[in-house]
Amino acid sequence: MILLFALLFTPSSWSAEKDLRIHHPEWVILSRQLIGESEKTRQKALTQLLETFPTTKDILKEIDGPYRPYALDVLVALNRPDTALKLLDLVASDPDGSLTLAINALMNGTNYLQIAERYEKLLSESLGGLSTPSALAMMDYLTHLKRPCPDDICEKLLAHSRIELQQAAALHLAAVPKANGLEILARWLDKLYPQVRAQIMLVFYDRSQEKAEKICLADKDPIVQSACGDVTFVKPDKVKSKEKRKKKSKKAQRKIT
Amino acid sequence: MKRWKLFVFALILGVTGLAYYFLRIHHPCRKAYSALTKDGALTILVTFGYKDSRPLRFVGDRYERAVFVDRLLRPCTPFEVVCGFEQESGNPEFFSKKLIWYDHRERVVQVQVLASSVGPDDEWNRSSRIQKWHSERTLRLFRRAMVKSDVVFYDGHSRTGGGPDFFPPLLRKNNQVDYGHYQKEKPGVQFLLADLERAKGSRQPRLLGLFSCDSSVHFQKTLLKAKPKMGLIASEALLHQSDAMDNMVSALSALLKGECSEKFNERLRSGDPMRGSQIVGFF
Repeated sequence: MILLFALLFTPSSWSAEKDLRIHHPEWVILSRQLIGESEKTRQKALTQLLETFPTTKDILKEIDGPYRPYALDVLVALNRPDTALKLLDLVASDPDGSLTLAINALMNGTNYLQIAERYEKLLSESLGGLSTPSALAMMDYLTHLKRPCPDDICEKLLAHSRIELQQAAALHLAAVPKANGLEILARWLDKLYPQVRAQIMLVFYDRSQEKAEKICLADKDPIVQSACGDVTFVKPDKVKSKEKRKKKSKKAQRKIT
Repeated sequence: MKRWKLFVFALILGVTGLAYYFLRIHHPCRKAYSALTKDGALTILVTFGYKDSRPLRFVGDRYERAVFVDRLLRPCTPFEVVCGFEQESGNPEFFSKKLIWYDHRERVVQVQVLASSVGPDDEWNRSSRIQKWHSERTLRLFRRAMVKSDVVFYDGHSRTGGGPDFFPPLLRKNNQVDYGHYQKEKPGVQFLLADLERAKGSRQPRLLGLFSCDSSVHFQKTLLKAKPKMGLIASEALLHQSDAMDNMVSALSALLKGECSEKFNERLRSGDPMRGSQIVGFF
């Protein structure tokens, strides 16, 4: 009983994290300088980081510890291209997505295809095992490369219960040229969250006003309607009559001159 | 029944009654928490501002929102409270759960979680119609919450006093954020003050958390002057994004556990100005 109480009321200052903070304050101090506004401070911090952690291995050791976010920031800041592939082996288990984001940031011309293929495999075969932030970062990377997602991946993400993944898939289909992209969006439209439907309406608006207007007329959800209120639809016959008027006035001008 | 049995029975009854009285009535910071919500439900808005990393193009608030939502949805371990929420059907921005609160009564806690960006590339976002609509919507919902929600948390950029901000930043020709504009115009503070003026007669928001760099310096004095009865969580230094998130989760945890000033600040790591935040004016 006494032991139980001792455990329950152990002050948090006795925790292992506090001990680590005492032994590794440079992670916090230097990473903080990396987000400072002055370029001089940033460069100074980088130089000091290179001295403190001379090899990538030193930093990789830290990524499962309490200083993970700092360590990954430092990895990206040091910009060692060999690191992306080393991190790729660990990407299947990335609870906060920060490792996937670090890979994306470290991506360089020599290994981007290898990374994209690995991401596609993971998204296609083990989406359920990935954390949402990690899956989101993978999808964003495919969008960044303008690499059209295979149909099964696009549809799996559109069918996902998390809005972040629905949105990522919708934006991917909007931003990356894919033969049946708009077709997939139209097919899934009714099953998506209203926030995503509103975004898709705006995507359609830039491509085909007719399709966007159809959504606005059919979908009475207030979120979708708020997006519809942000755009104005010009009727095709009005456009034609405007053009006719312009032509007529030009002819009239010519006669006068 | 023998006399001693009656005595033991009365003793147990008395001790239980006293314990109930002290736990329920004599919660040391009962006043602060009873003023937080009157109608049995606790409404909280968590908004991630537009988190660009200019001069780089990366924007990170969507990922941070996803990490935070993962945290809300994961199953609870003993003594953990920021967990076990369920996404409300039909609206993926709302998460709720029932909780036995400080007064041993059941409450519904509803958390709305918003992000500001639509994509990870600031260059793409700033020319996108979708981004404009999305930023405007987040701003509108944030401002509505400033009048209607019990608790409002903002995790984003301070823009050197020009925040909160839900839009792609104004840039100078060299692609650096135009801090001069934000310092001079203070657009975020202006709308916060207007909202606090609107909410002058109302109880909400009882607590505003600004998990952003140097928020004590930039916002504390002005906002508490405008609404002295409101509590404010702010930080004294530049915050790493992971520390801002940790502090926000800690604040939510302290709130849902009904913790008092000392414990609340300990959870916020107020003694560590490099990583922590501090709550003022709430208790």
